[in-house]
Amino acid sequence: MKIILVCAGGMSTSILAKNMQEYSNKLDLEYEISAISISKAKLDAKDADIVLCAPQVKFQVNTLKEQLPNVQIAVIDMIDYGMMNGQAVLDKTMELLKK
Amino acid sequence: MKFQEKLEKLNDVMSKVQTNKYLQALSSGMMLLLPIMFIGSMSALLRQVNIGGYQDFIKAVGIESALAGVYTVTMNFMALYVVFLIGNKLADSFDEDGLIAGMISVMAFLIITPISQFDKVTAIEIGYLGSKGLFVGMMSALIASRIYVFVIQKNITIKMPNTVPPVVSKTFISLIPAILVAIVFAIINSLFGLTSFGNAHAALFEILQVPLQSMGSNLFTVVILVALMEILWFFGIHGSNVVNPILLTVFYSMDLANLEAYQAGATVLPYIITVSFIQNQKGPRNLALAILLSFNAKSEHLKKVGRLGLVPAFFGISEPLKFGLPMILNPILLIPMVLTPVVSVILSYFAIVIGFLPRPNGVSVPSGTPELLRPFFTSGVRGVIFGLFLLLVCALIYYPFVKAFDKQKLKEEAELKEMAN
Repeated sequence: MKIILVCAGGMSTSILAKNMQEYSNKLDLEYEISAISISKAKLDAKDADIVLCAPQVKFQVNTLKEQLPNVQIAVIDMIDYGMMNGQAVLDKTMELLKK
Repeated sequence: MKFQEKLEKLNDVMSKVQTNKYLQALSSGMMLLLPIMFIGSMSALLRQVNIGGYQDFIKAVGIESALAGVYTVTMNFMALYVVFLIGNKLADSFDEDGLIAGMISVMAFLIITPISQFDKVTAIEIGYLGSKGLFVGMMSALIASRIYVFVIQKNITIKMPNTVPPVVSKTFISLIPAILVAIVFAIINSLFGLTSFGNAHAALFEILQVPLQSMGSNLFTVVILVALMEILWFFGIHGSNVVNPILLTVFYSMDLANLEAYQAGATVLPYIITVSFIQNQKGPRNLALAILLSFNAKSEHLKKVGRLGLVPAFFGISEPLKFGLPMILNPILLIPMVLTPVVSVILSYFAIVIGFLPRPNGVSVPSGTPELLRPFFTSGVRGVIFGLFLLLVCALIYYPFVKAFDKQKLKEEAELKEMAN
């Protein structure tokens, strides 16, 4: 499973991605979690199973949906994002992926 | 509910600005320039640093002339790189072949750039390929690339018989748009040749770039822009991401002009307000806030967010603070959030006017550079001292507001505990 996080520069999401990856490794789950800049999503997130959009670039989510019609897209919860809570975000993502 | 709707509307408007194909092409094209800008900036820095016998050494060994050469092909050719990247990005956003569009854009730009003939040398004035040509470069890339896309999408192409292999017929597709772009720009060039300016570069520089810059280069405009970025953040929108295209279009050629003067050894640089001034003189406000929260707040939540955000804030990443506290839609923190960068740029401006700080040398500092190291690259040791001073000022501005917020949070936490008991 490939999870890609996007924000303006891929910097703040990289902190969250690292926390999520650590939690996923602890649970022995086969997730590949990375962070990129939203401007690169069109090409680099094509083969992702889900793209998670950081709240500060939520206003670009519609463009993202147009660019990646076949990829599931979700916006990360503000508080989880602020606390860089990898566990909560991964739990919620797994719920979404089950659907 | 009504406020929520208004917020959605703001999101829509920002999304329109941010996803505007032309602005997007400008900013993403400029962003891709980073390696070139970085190499150019560093070669200028390495050439101008003056410690002990360093200057004698680099001159004797020949490093100095090597650095000058690297500088010339990076910064002095800046417009050329920009034209290719912007043309490329714009066509990409229309889902057309960006490489060809980039190539055609470079051709269009060179057509309207004057070429002079001296005795045995045919020359292009390098100035037009650097800071002075930046504006013309941006415009010609957008126009040329748009013509290319338009012609291709209207299907005005040379049709090959079916027996021709697709790879071959594909190369012919770009022929007609390229010819059209060449004709349009040749006409533009000869029209500008008829004016008293002599060429498009001189004309646009006088008519557009100079007034735009003098309008943009006053402190008032900067204060408005900086405040706007923070107000957008208040609504949860990445402020600098939205404002950056405007910043780069209006101010970036001033960074280049300063860097050109700096590497030529000028003692007084032409501009105070540049992109790097705006980006680097907003003050280490998030670091100040994170320190206050970590060491001064009593509420568990604030302490936790402060410690979580401390290291990221040191590297200029503010999201943990913005969303963790949260600062988004938090009226108590709105005032210091807007006030700290505004006060910081005003103080920096006057520090430059009275001569304590040098004018920014135009060196572009990559985002993610630690807060107090940034001013070292743009203004040297005094920049770092001033950065520490700004850290103190930002902390003082935040102090009463953090206290008030802390009190409110403490009360909430106590109530929660009581409920749990």
